[in-house]
Amino acid sequence: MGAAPRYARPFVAVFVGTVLACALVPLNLWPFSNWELFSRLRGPTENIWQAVVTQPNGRSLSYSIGPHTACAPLLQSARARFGPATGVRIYHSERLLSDRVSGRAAAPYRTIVVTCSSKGARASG
Amino acid sequence: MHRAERWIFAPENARRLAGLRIGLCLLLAYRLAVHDYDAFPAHHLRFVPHFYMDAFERMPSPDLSTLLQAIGIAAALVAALGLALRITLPAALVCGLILNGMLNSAGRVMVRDALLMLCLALVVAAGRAAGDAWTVRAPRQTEVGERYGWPVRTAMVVIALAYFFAGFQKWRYSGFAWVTTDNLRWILYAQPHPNGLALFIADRPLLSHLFAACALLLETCFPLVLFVPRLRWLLITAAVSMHVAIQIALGLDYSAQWMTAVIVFVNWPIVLDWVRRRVTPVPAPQGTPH
Repeated sequence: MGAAPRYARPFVAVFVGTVLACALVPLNLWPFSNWELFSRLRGPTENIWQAVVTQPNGRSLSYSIGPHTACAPLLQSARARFGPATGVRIYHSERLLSDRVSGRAAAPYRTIVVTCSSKGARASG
Repeated sequence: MHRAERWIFAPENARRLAGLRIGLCLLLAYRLAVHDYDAFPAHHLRFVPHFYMDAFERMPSPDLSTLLQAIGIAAALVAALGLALRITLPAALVCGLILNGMLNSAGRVMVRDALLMLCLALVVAAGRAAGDAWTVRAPRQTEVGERYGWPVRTAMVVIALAYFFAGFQKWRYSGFAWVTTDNLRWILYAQPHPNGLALFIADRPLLSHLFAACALLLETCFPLVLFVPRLRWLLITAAVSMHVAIQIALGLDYSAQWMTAVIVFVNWPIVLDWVRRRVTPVPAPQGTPH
């Protein structure tokens, strides 16, 4: 009457085995997580890459992108998201995390990396 | 291995499993209710399907997400009452998986509700046993058996492993440097708007090393919760404190995770019996000397 069902033992083995495998491999098969919460060391600086889209009406829009983003697909996605864009500029911002002014984060040091347009990419610096 | 199997499949009271069902279902209903899922697809243009969300071609529409949210909340509440468990428990689980999958498919996978979903999956797997006590239809069932123990103890194992692996990955990728370097300070500083507590810790290197050491020690030693029942109060309280501190300092909400740990590790039938005894004292038998 009170016995565990026949499937219980194999189910527990597979379930706990998946928890172990996802952590050890590691695999993130949510909700079977790899539990890599803050596991990698942070450095003293923060690097941010931003795309700034210039629209034909002169307005600019900016959004975060990953490092080493190529020009052509970025221009294509910017046009798909924001309509016809005249160009996209990629900026790299670097901030020293401990650098604070009156309790607030100091402004990052921003440099332009590349300018993307339909004519091609033009590296800066 | 046999000892572990004997421990997992030891007999348990039907009320213990029922406590798990009620607690986890109420927590899921609450978690589904507090998120604005219908606004979510409208604001995110990019859909980066994570794992099972590959089944969807695009982010589920606001209408579908609202429907799933309503079904999920209703199913979880009805399952907490112990009604139609064969339908309500899986429905609540599936709605929870899809709605959490939407959150995880916006470019960043969130750990926070993972333990809740894993433990709820175990209650679903328990089948009819989850509805043998504390239901609208069978409120006083006090049966004891193997069928009530394995979902509860497997949930305990999964939670212990989750905390252990959170520590294990820190040892694996960072080692003791996770404590000895300024890692925690940079984590606290890196927020867009760090609050007073975050800056108070980050501005004091020794304090941040102490917090880092305590967190790593707690996560590494958490499996003791399975072997030393007396340590449960200490370890669970420490884990809750850690999550509350993280929420205050970093603004990261892990309430679903620590609430799941509390629901699974607290022996609710014993707590309830204790409360009942305190509220309605048993009258002394006649003839007993005072």
